[in-house]
Amino acid sequence: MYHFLSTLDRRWIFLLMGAAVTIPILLELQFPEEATSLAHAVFNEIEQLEEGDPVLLAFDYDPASEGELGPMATAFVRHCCEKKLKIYFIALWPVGPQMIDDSINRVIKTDFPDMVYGEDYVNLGFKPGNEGVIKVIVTDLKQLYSTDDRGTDLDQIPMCRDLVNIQSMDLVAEVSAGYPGVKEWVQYAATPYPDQIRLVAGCTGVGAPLLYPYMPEQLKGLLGAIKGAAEYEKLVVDRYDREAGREPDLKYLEGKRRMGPQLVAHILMVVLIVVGNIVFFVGRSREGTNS
Amino acid sequence: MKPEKTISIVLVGLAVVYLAIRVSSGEMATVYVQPLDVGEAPAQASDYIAGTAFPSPSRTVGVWVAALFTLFIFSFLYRDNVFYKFAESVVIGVSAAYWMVVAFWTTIIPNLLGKLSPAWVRSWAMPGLSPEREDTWYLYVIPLVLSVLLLWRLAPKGAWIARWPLAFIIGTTAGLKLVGFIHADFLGQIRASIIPVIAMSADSFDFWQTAKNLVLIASILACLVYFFFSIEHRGVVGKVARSGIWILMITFGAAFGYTVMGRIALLAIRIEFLLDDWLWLIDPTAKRIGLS
Amino acid sequence: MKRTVPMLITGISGFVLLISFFIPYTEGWGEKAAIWFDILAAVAFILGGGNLLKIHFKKISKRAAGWGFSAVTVIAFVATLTIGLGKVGSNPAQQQQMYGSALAQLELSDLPESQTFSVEGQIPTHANKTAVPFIVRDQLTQDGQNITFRGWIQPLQVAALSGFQDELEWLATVEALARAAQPPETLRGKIGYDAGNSRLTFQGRMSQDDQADLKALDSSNATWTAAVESLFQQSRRTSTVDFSSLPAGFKIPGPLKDSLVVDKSKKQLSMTGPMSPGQRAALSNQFRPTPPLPKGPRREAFITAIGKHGPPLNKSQLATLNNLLDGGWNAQQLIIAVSTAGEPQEVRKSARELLDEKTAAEQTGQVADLKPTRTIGETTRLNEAQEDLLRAFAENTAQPVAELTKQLGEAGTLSDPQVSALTRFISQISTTGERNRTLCFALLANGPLSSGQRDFLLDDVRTEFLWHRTAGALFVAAHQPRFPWSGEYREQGSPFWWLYEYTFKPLTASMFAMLAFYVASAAFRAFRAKNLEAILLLGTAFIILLGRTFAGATLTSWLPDSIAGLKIENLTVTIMTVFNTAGNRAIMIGIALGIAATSLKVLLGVDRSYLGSQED
Repeated sequence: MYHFLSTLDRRWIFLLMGAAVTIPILLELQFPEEATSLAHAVFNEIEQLEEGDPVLLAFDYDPASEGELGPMATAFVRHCCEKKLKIYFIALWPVGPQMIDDSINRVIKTDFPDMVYGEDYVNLGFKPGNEGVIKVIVTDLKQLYSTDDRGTDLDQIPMCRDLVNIQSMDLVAEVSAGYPGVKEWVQYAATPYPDQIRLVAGCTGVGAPLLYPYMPEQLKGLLGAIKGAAEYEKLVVDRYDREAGREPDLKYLEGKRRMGPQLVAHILMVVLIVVGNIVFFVGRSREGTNS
Repeated sequence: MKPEKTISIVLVGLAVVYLAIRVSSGEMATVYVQPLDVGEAPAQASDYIAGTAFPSPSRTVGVWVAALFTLFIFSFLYRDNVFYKFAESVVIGVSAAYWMVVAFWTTIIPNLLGKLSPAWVRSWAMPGLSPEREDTWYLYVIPLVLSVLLLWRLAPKGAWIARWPLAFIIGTTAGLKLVGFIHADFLGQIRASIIPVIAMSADSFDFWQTAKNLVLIASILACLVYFFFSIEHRGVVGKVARSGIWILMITFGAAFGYTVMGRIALLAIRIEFLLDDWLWLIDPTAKRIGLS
Repeated sequence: MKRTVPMLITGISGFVLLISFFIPYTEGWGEKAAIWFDILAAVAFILGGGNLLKIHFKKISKRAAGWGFSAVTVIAFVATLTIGLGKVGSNPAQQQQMYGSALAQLELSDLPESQTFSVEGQIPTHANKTAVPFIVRDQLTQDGQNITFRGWIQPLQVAALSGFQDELEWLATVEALARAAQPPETLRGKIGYDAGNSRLTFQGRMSQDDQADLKALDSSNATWTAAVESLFQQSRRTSTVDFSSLPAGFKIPGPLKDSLVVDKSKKQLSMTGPMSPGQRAALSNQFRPTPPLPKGPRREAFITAIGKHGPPLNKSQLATLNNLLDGGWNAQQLIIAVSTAGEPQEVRKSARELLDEKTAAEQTGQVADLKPTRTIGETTRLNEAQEDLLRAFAENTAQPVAELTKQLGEAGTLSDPQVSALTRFISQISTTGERNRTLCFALLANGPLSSGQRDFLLDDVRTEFLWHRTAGALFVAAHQPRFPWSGEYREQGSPFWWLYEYTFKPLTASMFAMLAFYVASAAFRAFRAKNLEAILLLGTAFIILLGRTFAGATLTSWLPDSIAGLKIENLTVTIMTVFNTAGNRAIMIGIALGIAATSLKVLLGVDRSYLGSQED
């Protein structure tokens, strides 16, 4: 047994990991979620806004991270639509606009068909320049954005006519997968203008620990990885579906669904680490007795 | 034949037979679209049953292509092979061109050419653009010149001139980063660490919050002492630095935990794509009610 | 020289950004630098692509190892680039298509002289010397005491002029100009002139009389005559589409009386001239709203009809059906909606009215109380006869809304808000096809339906859909696309989108997904608890891994509330907010200092590594 484990081909471990993720998905295993304080903080930031308040949603991620961030983005858009806020979409990643389109099609056009493009929501699109973009739009947005994502002049769009810069936004909600992302928004938007810009964010698991230091001053709330998404989803769904006595649409439970394979895979990781260490210590003691 | 080769041929053969059976039953990987006046919109299977949508051959082929590419990439886990190399070459080519196209249509046309001659850009590419020039539009000649110099890097002679726009990029980045990092990461973090050492909540002494605050401040100081390599880590300084390392280990352990979470989520969605969109073995969002 | 100039550029651009942070006057310079940086970042993408091509071409020409894969890369690159830059298969932008209008190029100077209008007034001057809005600049001039406008004013121009200054005198002048600068009575609403694009526009089908009237405006100018003739030709263009079946009781809608011809034998619809979105909607809306199905014999008959095509519905299906049909509209709701809409309306006063009020008040020495709106109408409610008419409508929804409105007006008072409420309510009622479709899928979610039952429920929506497609096909056939390159480069359905969605996206996502496997392998083979530091790291990892899932919560749920802090989910929060924050804060401070040092070294020219090697 020891020999088998100590010379184990790593491809068996790949297979185990593949099975640990595939089987829960096939069996559609799901577990209940409880929201922690950070998800509550994000939820309350949006919940306390009034109808018609402007909010900037920045989707800075790509399809590679859509697994973790898609459910967060969907939940953000839905929450803003339920609160009837004025939504401005923006992206700092080249493929961000695709993610925005996906969210608009999935949530707004399907469940909130009364919302009018140009009056209730607008898609400003992508501009390259990373943090350079943030730096410009905090003082003068129209320097970089003369048209929206479809090419319509911003002065012809009712909700953009009086838009000077993003300091007029009541909240900035950012979903990011890396660079440029939450860190840049904190550095170039929330920190220089602490009274005008409030920032909440969602990020991948990799980036989450690095963002904790920014809370609670520069970052008002953070959703970390798929767990954060599942927790926030739960809060939104409880408030707008369960309280109204209806079952939520399955697309608003994606985060919860993806937590199923997470649990099994996490347990596998713990088992692998433990077994690996056992093998190591057994080997060391055998070397000790041999020598 | 080596047993490895036999096994792989048998496995691939079984997979091909299984897929052939599924395809012939028609219950796999079909994507539906609803025709609009101009263009088409994505549709569900329920729209197809209701007669308002039709299977789209190009998108159905697309799902197959996506699934095959996914499997090609995953085949690398077994061994480096020609399928993986092929998929890798495709992604390099497509992504480079993709970002070029994005940069062209989202910045070069509206923000450079559109500022220099908006009327011309409006006439063929962006009819919604205002034809009025900005007051200082002539300044945009500078980035135009710098852009041409940057592209000169590809020329066989005189590529050194590309250093000028590169220097501009470096200088701007350095200037931006300097301010941003000092403000948010240095001053901001020091400010955030100045927290009450005796925490009160509703006028009564909050023991746990006080303990947390004290531990937080002590930990930050310990880590900073560890990073300070200009004095030798001996004696008291050494002990404090040691505890700093422990705090850093906890930090890295947390980072590892979150990283694992992130990676697994990425894998889960790929598997979901294969099982849901391609093989139609599961239907978690109830997209295909009524198809059977 | 080759190295000094770049160093100077670096230093200057960096310092401009630095001082723009501290000195408000120079903030504009910093913004400019950031915008130029964006543009150069975009060009860097192009440079990257070009460089890629260069490397791979070299590899192919040298036939180096793996050159076949380089060829694949180059082919994928060139294909994606061509499709993306050419916007192949992308439809032009819909907002600027001007459906329903014919266009002809015409310079402002060729517009007939007679179409110049004057009103009394002064163009205001602003302290900061803002010129008149760009959109009217070519057409608006001050001529002594009068303001002259060349051409016919458009709503966007009126809006821009109204926004130019807040004073009531100016607003009243703009209103007067908007009333004056209109085409002759017979051509109003049809002919227009867009000075920004130098285009003459004509909405709909041009009759011979219209053409004669237009030509008569300036018979001496050949360019004008040619433009009018071009519009005439365009608006006479016929387009034809086939249809499979006409909706029951089809009558050519009012807006299409002059332009649409139905050939029942050949099963074709022919349209003369372009079709506007309003006309298209009128053609599409041929299906009456579905009458309500209250509990009773009508509903029972419906359920029986469903039962005839297959097995009877099960209990939960019946419950769903009843729920859905109960939630539909009924005559009482319609009556209430229309009746309660009969309230006085607040109507905005024009600037002229406000100005008159103000002048009148000033003359009597009082301060004017300028309310921006005035109330018109009174509270009206529906009478018995009108309610009966609405109930009759609920039985026979095939009655056209216009006819219903006329009857209601004859049976009693009907105010304008009530008419709008009636039209709105009726337009929101779903058609029979739509209702049956919702019903069908709701029933399917609760039990099986035979294919006969499905067809019974879905036939209507299929017919409706086919008719909508026919109307859409005619709408598109009657239009000549403009600005072929104005569409979105990544429009859904276009080849570029296909490449993104089915090659780029799955490939990059899969490459990232592989990391999960490697992290598992690393966990088994490399993570050894050899010393205290490693034990701390692994222990924290365990707590986080388990604590961020349901497993952890279950593991420690037995702990009493007094030590709730040791429950794994709370422990996770403590670890993240105290220890992780502390460690990361220290790391961030260190990194920030490092970045500050490196940036200063680069800006001051101490670090020149970015300039490359000493050669060339």
